[in-house]
Amino acid sequence: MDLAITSHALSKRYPNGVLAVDAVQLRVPSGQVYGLLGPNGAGKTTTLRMLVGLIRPTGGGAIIAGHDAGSSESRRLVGALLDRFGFYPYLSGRNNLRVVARYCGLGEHRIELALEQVGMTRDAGRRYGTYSRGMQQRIALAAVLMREPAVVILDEPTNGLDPQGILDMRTVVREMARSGRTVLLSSHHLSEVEQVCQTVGVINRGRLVVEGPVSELRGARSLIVRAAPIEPAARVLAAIAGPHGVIRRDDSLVMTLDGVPVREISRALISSGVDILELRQQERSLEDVFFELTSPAEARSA
Amino acid sequence: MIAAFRAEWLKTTRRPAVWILLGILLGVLVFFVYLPGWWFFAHGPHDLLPAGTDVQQLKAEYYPRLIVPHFVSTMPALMGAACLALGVLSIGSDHAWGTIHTITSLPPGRLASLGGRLTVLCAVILALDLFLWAVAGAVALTLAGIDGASLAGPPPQQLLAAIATTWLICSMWCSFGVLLAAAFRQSVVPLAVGLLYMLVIEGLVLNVLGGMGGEAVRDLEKLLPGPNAGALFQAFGHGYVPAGGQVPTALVAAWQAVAVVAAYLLLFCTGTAYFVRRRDLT
Repeated sequence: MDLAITSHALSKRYPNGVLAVDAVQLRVPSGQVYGLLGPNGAGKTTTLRMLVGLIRPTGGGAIIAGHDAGSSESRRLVGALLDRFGFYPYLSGRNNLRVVARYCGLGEHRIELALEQVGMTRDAGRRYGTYSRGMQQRIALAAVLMREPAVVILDEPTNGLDPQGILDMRTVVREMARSGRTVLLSSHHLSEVEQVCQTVGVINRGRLVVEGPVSELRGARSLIVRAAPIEPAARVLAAIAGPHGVIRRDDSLVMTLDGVPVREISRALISSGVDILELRQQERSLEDVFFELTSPAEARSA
Repeated sequence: MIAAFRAEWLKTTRRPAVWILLGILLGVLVFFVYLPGWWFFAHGPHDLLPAGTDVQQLKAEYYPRLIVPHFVSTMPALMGAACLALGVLSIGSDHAWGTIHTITSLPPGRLASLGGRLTVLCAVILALDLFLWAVAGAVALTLAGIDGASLAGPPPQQLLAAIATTWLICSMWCSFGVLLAAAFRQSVVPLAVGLLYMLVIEGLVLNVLGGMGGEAVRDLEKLLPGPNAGALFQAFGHGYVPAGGQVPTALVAAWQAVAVVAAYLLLFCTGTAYFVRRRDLT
């Protein structure tokens, strides 16, 4: 697999002794949308800032498209929209983009193109300080798009946006991926990540606790069966899924679906004389996985 | 660094604070430094002046021939304070607005961005310096014209040296402001600390202690930026001194003052580079 971003034992300990990021090993596939999930204070932002070069790692390092993270070569390839992005309030949206374009040595035509992409052409002449949060976010996004970066890093990109803004942002992220860019985004909106990301990494207390494709993390789907009487039903299901494939939960049975068609299970139950009260497929959401991985052990057992 | 210069030029020259500072300096130059003094000496009442004061000589200070000693004895302190504020705002506001994060994540890199920023500030100060000298010249010509006095200006090399000196000293104070803002990562505290140091500690406390005859204080002053800047301005001569009055003596020779001020400029820029390069942007 071709990797756009790799980190090896990436760590950050702040001068006050807090270990914000602890030996994180990221593997972000090229051309995919990768979601970095984690509760507040987990170390997502510090990780992303180290990749962009705003924070110096105290251990390990990262490589972005073959260059050391934070080097001028990698900065040329990376477009970042950070949670604390800022623009000059006294300049117009267009002039703010002009400042970025001049810093990057880009031509004027890229500015108009980017403004059009984010739907800000009409308001680009207004002072940035008069924009709503959503408009400010669009200008920030235009500053990223204008540079046509190979790797895009977005830190909580939908924070503070209205539903339409969230939808638009999602579309832009998908389009970036379609055009072959690698997108690494951090979020604590699990549904958002589930909808746009192919791969996710979950970070908790500074450590990357799991990483993989979304479908793999969710695991196999399960089937919830309520039947009467329940004992013969459990025996039928165990015969199909094996003794460890069925769990009894209150008055229901939860069976792992491992490629067995539901209609076969239904037929087997009926032919054994069991009345089926409920038969429902259930898919583990990313939220379930997230809470399993990030909740303290005592909370999970409770 | 050229890319950074172009970007920094755009944002600095469009910043209202820069134009406000220019407006304040312009107002002070015309309405405090030139017009009230000239008006008083032209129209009296002269009986308020000490006996034996030569009013014509005092008036002559407002004419083009004496533009250099008049300008350097009145404007530099305020120009220095304005340039210190300009330096503080340049980096301090970037921290307040979060633009420092945006800029630092762009290709040129931290030191190249800083290089562009400092170069732009020096260029803006040069433009401001030239503009104020030009306005002073225009006002002096007008007043001399009204009084029917000579329109002849100072020797060109003296004028050029004075322009270069005010630029060097203002750039030094500006770099002091940049250093403070980089260290504190904001605008308010560095502005207060910078002005307190410049106007109160150097401008008042050391003057009072020095006046009390402390030799150690005078030796200390020889190492500080403000007194050296003052010594440099004194090298351009002085205004009218009444008969029997004391001609002020310079603290150090002009070449030494230039060396000290330039060393401070370099020191402040290096200190800023250290902070900008080493610090995390959290």
